[in-house]
Amino acid sequence: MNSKSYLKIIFLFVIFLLVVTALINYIVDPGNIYTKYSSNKNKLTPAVYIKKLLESNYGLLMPKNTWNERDLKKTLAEYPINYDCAIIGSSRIQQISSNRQNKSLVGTCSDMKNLSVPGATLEDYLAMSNVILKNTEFMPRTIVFGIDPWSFNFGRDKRWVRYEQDYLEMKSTLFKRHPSTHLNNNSNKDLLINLFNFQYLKRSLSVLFKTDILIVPAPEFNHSKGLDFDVMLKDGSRIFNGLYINKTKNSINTVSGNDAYSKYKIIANSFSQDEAIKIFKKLVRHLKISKINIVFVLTPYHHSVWNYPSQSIVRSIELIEKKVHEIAEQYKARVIGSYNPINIGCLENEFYDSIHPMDTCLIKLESNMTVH
Amino acid sequence: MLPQFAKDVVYKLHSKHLAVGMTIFALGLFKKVVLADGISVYATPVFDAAEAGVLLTFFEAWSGALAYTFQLYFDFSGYSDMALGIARMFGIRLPLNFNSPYKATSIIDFWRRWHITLSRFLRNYLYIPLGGSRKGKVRRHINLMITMILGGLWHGAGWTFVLWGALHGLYLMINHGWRAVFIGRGKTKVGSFFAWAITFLAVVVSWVPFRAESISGVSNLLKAMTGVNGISLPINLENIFVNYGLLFPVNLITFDGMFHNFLYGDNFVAICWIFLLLLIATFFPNTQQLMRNYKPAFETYRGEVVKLDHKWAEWKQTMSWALFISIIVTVSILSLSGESEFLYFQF
Repeated sequence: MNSKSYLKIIFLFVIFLLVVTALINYIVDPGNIYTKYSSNKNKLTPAVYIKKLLESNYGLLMPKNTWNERDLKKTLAEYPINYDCAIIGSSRIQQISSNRQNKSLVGTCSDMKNLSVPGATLEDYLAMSNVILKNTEFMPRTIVFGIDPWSFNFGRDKRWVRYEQDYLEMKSTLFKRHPSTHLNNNSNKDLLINLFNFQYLKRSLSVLFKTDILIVPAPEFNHSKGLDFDVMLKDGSRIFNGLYINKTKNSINTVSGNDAYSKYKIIANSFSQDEAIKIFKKLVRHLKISKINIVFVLTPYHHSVWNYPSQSIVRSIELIEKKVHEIAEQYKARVIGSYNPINIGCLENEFYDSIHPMDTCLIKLESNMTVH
Repeated sequence: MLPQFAKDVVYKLHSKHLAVGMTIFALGLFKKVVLADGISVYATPVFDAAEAGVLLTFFEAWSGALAYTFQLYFDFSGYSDMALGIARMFGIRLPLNFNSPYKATSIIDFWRRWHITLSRFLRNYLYIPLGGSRKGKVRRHINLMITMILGGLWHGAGWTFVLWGALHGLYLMINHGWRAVFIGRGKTKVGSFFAWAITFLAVVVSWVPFRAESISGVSNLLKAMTGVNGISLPINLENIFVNYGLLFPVNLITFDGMFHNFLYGDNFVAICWIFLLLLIATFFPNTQQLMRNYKPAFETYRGEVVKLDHKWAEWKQTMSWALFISIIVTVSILSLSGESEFLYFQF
């Protein structure tokens, strides 16, 4: 074989393999980002999942890598049912629940829909608020925003593009402009790159050969011990799986305030953006005009994080906590909790890791409440 | 090397050079993106934990040090191969930089195989001007130590790099001393194996200060690696040991699990990665050996790249090689974008 043929074969075969990969990722689409549940053999949709969830006694299992949680939470927000509070935020407040054995925010919410999603950012606040406000007949009395130290920034995560249209609609409402119907170029570029992602391919292949049942009711169980899978309770809150709970129980003494995870989404010297704060204030004002009470929840960071006062994470936490109180004062909102666990009496062993408190810590949040 | 640039053939694309260069580049890309980045997730948490003062177990510490040992090698040699490959596409040959360093059977041998361009620079512009071995045994050892400490500082201004350099200086002094005493002794297979094992362990230990961010991090990790924190064995072994009457000093052997700090997801996968990369680094031919017939790089020492015993393993322009390279290029491209942000994950 001569060199030209050798190069040609490599070129053509690489192209062939990449095309096959892209096709598998596009057709199987385990994250349901290209097609709306087209690969789902049983025609199971988020609407079916949420209906079954609300009919269940103890919640539904959430097998890993099956459902896109933003789709589920959006569907839960749209579901025609009366409720008192909507919880919007990241994984740091996913344990807040009116259904679990350790109920939290009992003085604030009689019942709730926990609409928090992993990696939530400012864009998620806008998108989910839009979904809530569109459901005009079943609006909550209160919206609880779980504010994280990275919240007042744009672009700290990309997962919100799942409901980008809702984000754009809310943005245009706030700025009184016609909503854009086009996805931004960055999203399209990311979606395209994702077609050629090895991790996504592995996930696609595992879904392709998966026999897991996507909707399985959870049996009655002890929430502090968990089950084999994560469980979504009827209010949308999450119970972690037993393996994860045990792992964190055993490793709690190794939680380090100096690890990379404690700095999740924190960028040194870029703690907040003026434009992001401006749009968040507009959102709060808009919700107030819609006669919705606003509550800000500050979920604590592990004690070990506070051992590094000169680090960006601590400076960021202090700055954002102050900023949240300023915004709350301006819009007569309530602030519950604190990033500092000592302020609310959380113990060192009441955390899963440096940034995720357990339910036993979250039930103490209301011990630190500021009404402006 | 420089006279090449005056030749007309350089700067002109030639299919033969493209084929050779592309193959070398593909192998380098795979080493960097798949192997080095793949194992890095098992090194970083261990070193971070050591910095944070976590009491690491014996096995965690060794797995972290070994993972970093392979991460660094596949990362750096991958980059070097990519540079060699790109240059070769344009008909240029660069000097060899890595020659299976983890196959070395002595520290002197290691430094003839690891970052060859740097070690040659240190030898020519530091060690020899300092007097090299020309001014007696004592001065030779002092010169070695000075050269290696400055070599450490070349990597970064920090005490950990000084420590790394000093450690290698010490290793080289011991190695030269050993050679002087045992010169002329014949080599046996068993002897070669022990020489390799001691060299490899010494190198792994030296990477601890190289990677750690502080002296306390180095101390924490080395304490765990030397068993100062005790050796924690799997919980289910306790009954077996007790049944056979095998009792240990309480503080030395415990049964709390080999990886009880849960620093990374799946310990079994971590162990598999380490063994796989150990196998590749010590038993597989390197890129230069595979491509030897096409002289991919300038050799610093004559006969540096050893000919393969099996001719079939040498690279040729065949259909099977083309398919193999296509697969590793594809896997590398797919791995370039890292973790998909669109995947459903817990946080």
